[in-house]
Amino acid sequence: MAEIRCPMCSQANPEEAEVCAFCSARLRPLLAGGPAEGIPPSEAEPEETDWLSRIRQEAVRGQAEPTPPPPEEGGPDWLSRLRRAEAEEEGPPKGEVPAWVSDAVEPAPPQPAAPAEPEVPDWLARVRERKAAEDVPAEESAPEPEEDWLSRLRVPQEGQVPPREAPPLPEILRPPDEGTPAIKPPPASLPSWLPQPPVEEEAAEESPALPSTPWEPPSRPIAVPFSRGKAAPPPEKPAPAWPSEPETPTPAWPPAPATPASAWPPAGESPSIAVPPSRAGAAPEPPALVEPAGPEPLPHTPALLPEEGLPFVPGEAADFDIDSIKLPEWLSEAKPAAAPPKPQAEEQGVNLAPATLPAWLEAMRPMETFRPVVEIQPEEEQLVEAAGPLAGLRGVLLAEPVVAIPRQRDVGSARLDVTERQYAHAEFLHRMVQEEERELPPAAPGRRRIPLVRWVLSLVLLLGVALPMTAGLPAFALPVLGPPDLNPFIGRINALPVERPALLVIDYEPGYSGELEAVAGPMLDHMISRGLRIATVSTRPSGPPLAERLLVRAGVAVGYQNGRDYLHLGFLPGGPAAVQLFAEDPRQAVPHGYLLPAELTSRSGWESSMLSGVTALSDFGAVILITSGAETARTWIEQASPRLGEVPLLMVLSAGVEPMVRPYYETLNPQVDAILAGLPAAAAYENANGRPGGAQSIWGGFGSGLFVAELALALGAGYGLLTALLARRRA
Amino acid sequence: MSNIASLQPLGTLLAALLTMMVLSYLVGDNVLFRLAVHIFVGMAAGYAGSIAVHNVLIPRLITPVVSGGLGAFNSLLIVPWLLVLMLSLKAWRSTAGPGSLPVALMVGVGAALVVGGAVTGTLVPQTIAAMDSLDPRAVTPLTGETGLERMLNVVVLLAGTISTLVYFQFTARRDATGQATRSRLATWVAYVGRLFIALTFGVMYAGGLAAAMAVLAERVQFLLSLVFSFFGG
Repeated sequence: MAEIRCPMCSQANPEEAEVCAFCSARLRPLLAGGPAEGIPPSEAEPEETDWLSRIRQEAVRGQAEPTPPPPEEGGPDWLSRLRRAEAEEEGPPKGEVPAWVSDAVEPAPPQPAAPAEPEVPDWLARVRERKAAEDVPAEESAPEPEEDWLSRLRVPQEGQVPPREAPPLPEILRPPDEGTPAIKPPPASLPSWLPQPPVEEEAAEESPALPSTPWEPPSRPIAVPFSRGKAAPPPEKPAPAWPSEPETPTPAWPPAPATPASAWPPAGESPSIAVPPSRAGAAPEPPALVEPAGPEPLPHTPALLPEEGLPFVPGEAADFDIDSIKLPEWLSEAKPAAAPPKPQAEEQGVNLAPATLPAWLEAMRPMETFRPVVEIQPEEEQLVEAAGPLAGLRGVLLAEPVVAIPRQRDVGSARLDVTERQYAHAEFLHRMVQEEERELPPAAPGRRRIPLVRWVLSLVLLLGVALPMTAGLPAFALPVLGPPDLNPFIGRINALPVERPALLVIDYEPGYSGELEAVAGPMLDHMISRGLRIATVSTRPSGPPLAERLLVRAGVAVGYQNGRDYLHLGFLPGGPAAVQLFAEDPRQAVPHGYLLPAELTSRSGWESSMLSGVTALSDFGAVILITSGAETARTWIEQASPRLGEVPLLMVLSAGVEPMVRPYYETLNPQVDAILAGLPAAAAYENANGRPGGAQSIWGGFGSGLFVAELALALGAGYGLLTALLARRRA
Repeated sequence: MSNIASLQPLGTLLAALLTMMVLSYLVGDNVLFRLAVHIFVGMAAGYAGSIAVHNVLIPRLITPVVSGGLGAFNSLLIVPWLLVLMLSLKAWRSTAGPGSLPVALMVGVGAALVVGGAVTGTLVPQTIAAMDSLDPRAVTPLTGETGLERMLNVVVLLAGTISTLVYFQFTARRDATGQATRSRLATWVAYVGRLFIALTFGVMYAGGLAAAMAVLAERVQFLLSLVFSFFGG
């Protein structure tokens, strides 16, 4: 015997079995529209014992067996009945109806339009009644204003339990007393809790004519809590907006039957708020559920069943519509009455459909991106599920719209709000980054040109420097008048004490020796002529040899000897810190010396008789700095000047450093006592000494070279100016 | 000593040769000039190293230990030795960390000295001097300026100081277009300050040119004297 295995539980079943005996899963795919394979319709009856049959029996339990419609061609009988039952089933089965719904339904009086049959439950009867009401033309089913639910609320229902006395109202909620002027709300504004009506144009075009009846709450959302019927005790109701105060006479509130709306404010200006049920002294009745009058392709199942005996109001759609709200008269004044009222049935049939939101509410709905993008096809075109427990069924909901199809994000936005300024900055940064990453192309080997201008200028300059030294032409006269700084400098040298050595600081690079030796030469001649003893020190490693060279050249003619007339203390390492240390304790800063005489080689230069009395910087007769750098001069001024005391600080400067040091000199309280800068001052100094030296020997070449340089500068400036003018004229 | 004296002519020739090699730059960049530059740089570095060893390391670190033995190690000697050893560890990347301590010590002490000296030795005295110089009745003792000359000098000094300070003021208000612009007065004063700055730079350039010309003249004189001595006997 052949077996067939269940695709769900893998249990073996007989070959002819249609459903699994263990899990009731269908074993063979079911093709809608065709008969079950090999099974006649009459034989399919026993299969109603499956889960689907049980559900169907549960749904139609107690209902008289309706006349089965003729089965569709090619369709099984049970499936036809199932579809028929689904079409009629608009309410929950009896066993699944909640108790409170049952309580609300049971005491309802029978409707004459729906004769109660013993087999048909009440809820099904009401559904049929409503279906019958849908067939009625809209014009006929339009309710009269007097039949409004609000009017009925005022009428005490027979046999209804009077409501309990509501708790006292707060002061602001109490109706106005007699004689108290009625509070009239502003006609042009609505309270915030009221749904705002659409603009006037839209209201004139789309909304139906507002009835003169008071405002009725939206049918479905508000009807839910009130739909428990008269059997519901008042305390179980949700707190009404206006609890009743029957003992308080309120003339402003006319008797309920006389006026459908509250007379507070007076009738003609009644507020827009519906009269509370308790105010009318009757249990609240839910507003009638409204069914669309037009032809409805889809069955509509309300969330809760309406009260029996209440007619359907076709003008009220199932969904909330602002135009369906009946506003009071005083509020109606705010809306233009220009638009003629359209037929209600036409309006409902065109614009209002079940499960359709108004446009203004649709715009507020943040669910746009969650709507399924898959259209629901007709049942005949839908695919048959091929696997799983739903195998063989059509119209199975697909998982792709939920799982696989990407959706648009609804949180946040990826678009930045960038100003033009920020955009410009971002662009600038972008260009900078791109410029950094850009590689420069290798420079192409340019055409080699002969630097004729450079060669000509070099030749002229060399000739200009050399010719005065060789041929004596052109001749530049020696300066007769020295600079104003020269005489103070000479005076300081003349005032130096002979018994105390002068400290000579050699702080220039060898490259400047040609200038500074010429500038310092007349000063050294002057000092040697006076018999001053000289000690040298340098903060540069090349300083001590330069000092030796300078002193040998200056003193060789007069027999100055190392160790006796001059002494090299050597290199002072450490920069500014060493200068400060030397100013405080010279012996500790430079303990030895440079090129010391033989008797002092194994000892320190400080043991020389020349430096016997020197223990501090102030023990020197003077500190003379020869430098080519402004930083070096400033270091000695800042670090050593405060510790000099009365010892003068003199400076022999290169011509390029003089402007930087002069501010320390030309003040009321100078930190530098005298300066000697440049070759002209040296030449004048030699004149003053009466002994020509190195400055005068190069004076001709120096003057001629400066003249050539100045001429070249002037020619270059003129050429550049002319070129610029020509370029501007061309532009 | 006599050997050194005998090498004097050779030194003079080498000096003349190196001078010619450097002056060859007037023709253009060439191998001789670069060779001379390399020689100078190498000699300067080698000489500085030898000076540091002979004048600093040996007399301050080696000699005390050699002469006094291990007993000579006191705090004044241990700390320099420790710092030297730590600094020598920077020669290897893996042990460069401890070497940062002596470097930080040198940089910190140097910066403190420079800043302190700049404040007490330059900033405050120069500010006071600038204020004192504005007194036309004061007579500069070193220049002897009096009368109209002193007045003119004071005006120039005042204008130069203020305009230069205004030029270096880089704050401005934004106009309606969002562009930072100075006021008209500040723009003109800053322009005057720029002229003073340009004048100062011109003076410094002239001084540098004069110094270079003096060096060139000395070198040309050296070469000419060598040539004359060589050919003239």
